Amino acid sequence: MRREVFENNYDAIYKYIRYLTNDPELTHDLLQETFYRFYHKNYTEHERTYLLKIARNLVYDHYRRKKIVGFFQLKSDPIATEALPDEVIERNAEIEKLYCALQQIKWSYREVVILRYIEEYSVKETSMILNCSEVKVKNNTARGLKALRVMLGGEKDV
Amino acid sequence: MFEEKHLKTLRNIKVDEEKKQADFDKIIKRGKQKVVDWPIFALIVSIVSITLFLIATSPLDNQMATTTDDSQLIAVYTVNGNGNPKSALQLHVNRVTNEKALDEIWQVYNQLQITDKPDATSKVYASYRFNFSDNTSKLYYQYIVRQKIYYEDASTGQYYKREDGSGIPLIQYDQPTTLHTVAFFSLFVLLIGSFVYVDRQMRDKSDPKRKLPKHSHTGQSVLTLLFLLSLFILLFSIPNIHFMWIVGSSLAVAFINILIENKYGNNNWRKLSFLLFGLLVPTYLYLSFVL
Repeated sequence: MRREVFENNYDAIYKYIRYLTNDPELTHDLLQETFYRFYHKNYTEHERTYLLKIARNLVYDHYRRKKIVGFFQLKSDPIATEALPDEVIERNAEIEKLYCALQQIKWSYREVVILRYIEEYSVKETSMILNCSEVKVKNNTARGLKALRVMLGGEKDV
Repeated sequence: MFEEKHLKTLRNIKVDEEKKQADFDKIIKRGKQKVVDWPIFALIVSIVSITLFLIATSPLDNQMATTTDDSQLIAVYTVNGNGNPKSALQLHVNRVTNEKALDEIWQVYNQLQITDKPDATSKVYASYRFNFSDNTSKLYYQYIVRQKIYYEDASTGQYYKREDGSGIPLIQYDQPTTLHTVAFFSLFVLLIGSFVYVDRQMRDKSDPKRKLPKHSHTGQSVLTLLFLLSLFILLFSIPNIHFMWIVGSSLAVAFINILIENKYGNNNWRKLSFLLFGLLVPTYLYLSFVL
């Protein structure tokens, strides 16, 4: 049972934490903690949603502890310090540039973009994971894409 | 769209199978580790601390002057600078009730002779209150003028000094007893421990390992900050403030915070943390300034 949950969700959780934190070592630490907490709670349904929720909370807690966050919310976002992760299969200059831009957009936009376009979640599911309204998810998605476009120089418009 | 198309390429990753297995092994290994049972540990610490506290606060013999004469000196309160020491619970006030120390002070007290007001004026070096067994008390201000010590009776304005110009011996630290100190330090440690424990219990229901914010409403944060700021100002502006004012205000703040919590967050652990904080602040100040 544990192995099954682990196998089914490992890649998704890894990607999510990896793209949010941009730190391979930290990703493994937080990933272990995520599954550990999940097993403790004995969830039986919506496994992926709960795992992502736990992972998100852990990432927030980590940066809160590191004083990167302010009193109640993120004041400054983790800065992109590394290139495209080695695990990404398809690699070219454009993807690297996009990844770099993704690491530099606002935190709230980044997590929505990751969930919507990389993890392939619907607006409703994303709102459940992020514990916010669907309207906010839609707004942040549009703003995130716009921010990415600006970062990339706006040379390729929609 | 350009961004969306390229974002899709980030979906495909190839994870390191060795690291994946290592991650799984670590999770399973961690799951088998025994978790410390904090409630039992906290209960043991509480029982030990309460026992120590009860032992320490039980009355001790031979602490007070035992003479039966009227107007016998029973306690001396001292404070540095100009003040009106009345109680050992005032911050920075030192109380002497030890029989041997009182005898020594009494001898010196009886050697004080009336003298003229010293020529030079200087600020009050220390204030003394002598409490007598007939429920009377006298307040004296101590001055040091040209290396001679003078005492002014606060009620009559009369000056006194010893023949050789020396003063009343400053007999400090004859109190509190070691047990008293240990009891309060234990209480402090217990409060800190409980505070940390309660802090750890404030978790998100959907993710028990995630901590909740310490306050559920901005009003609680503002009130706590204002309290700490005003306390800081009070400690400087009224150096001999009575300790009960601090206890009262601290508990009042805790009470208001609990009322706010009842209305907005209604988290029992958070309510307990407010109460513990309300007790922790006076305990810390007691250890720092009164003990």
